[in-house]
Amino acid sequence: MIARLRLKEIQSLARSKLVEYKSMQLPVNPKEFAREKLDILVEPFSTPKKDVSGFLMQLGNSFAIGYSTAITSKGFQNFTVAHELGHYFIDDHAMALLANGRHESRSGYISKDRFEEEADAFATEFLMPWVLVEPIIRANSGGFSTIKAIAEACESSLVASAIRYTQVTKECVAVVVSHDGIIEFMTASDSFKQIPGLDWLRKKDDLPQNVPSRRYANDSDWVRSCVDEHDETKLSNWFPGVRDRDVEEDIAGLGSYERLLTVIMTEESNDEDTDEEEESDDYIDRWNKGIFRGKR
Amino acid sequence: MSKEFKDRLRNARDARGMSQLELANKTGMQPAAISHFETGQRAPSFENLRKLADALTVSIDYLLGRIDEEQHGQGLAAAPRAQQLFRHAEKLTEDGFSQLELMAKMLREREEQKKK
Repeated sequence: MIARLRLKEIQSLARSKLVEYKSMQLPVNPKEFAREKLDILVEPFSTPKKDVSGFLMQLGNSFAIGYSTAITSKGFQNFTVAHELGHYFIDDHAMALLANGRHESRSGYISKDRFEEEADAFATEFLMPWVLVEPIIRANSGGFSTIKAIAEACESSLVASAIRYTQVTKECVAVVVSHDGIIEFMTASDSFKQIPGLDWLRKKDDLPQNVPSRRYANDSDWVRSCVDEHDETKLSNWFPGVRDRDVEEDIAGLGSYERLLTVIMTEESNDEDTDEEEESDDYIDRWNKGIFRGKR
Repeated sequence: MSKEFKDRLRNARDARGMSQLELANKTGMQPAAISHFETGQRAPSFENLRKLADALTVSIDYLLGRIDEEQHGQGLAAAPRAQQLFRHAEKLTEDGFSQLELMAKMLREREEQKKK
């Protein structure tokens, strides 16, 4: 997890580069940016290993960015190139990546390496700068339709757009990415994180059994077909520890990326007041029983 | 943080009789950034390294202490970064490897064109 101050620095860097090179308009084209503004060679490459999505090459004082075509989504490829631009622009990545001997990137929010996370954060802001995304959010009805609108306007991947959406929306929404029924990561809006009793889904956990996403998780044909479905379920099916409520669940197959994207959306929590009252009652009860006084 | 970098940056600048302000103007950076690089308070980005190397007409590998000649151009075999490139390429298919070789060749041609 990137510290909040560092995240703001990286987001500011991404915006400043867009302004400096007069590219603050949608869609940002990272390949064109690298080629025309920075004189960086940008070329596709093929590899059977899908966990190497791109790389940055330096020879003398010239640079090249390679991006894998194993995943055919233009949005994913744009994100990969923007991720490599993050390595190019962020202070101290040069020393760190060269010190590691070689550098191969796993863009797409899966890596926990600090440098990869920072390059992901750069790519997110670079492709979807808040000042340009905010009007899209205002113009749409929220949830999955807004995520698709961001992806279309920014030519970014659905996953990147969903994550961007959770970072900035006031709605109560969570995003889960899974592969063959195994969770790869979960992220959520601030509002969703405040749901009392929420037990965060962890990497390598199984998708819960009773959620609509489960039906599609092992259907590789459906996942590869890039379609999406809308369904409804109960929040407790996802998070057994929470007070129950209805949720809308949108499920999308991510094509050759072979992942399932799930967007869970619910009404904003009103549980906090109740909980405060309960905590207050509990406090008075415990006080009356002398629990605190007994500690003296 | 590479100790060689801050020393080599300062030495290359001094050897060319440039002040920090002059190097800053030539690279489009703030003078404070040059000072921070030379005192090791700040690690440069690849973009910074490229601007500094171009302004001082040395190679990035030299600034980083990876080769001892100021100029790159001893061929791919002499460039440590290129050796890494080929290790990296081991994971690629034959077709991917060929594409990578082509990219390296294109980069080398760019380097040679710059020297003309």
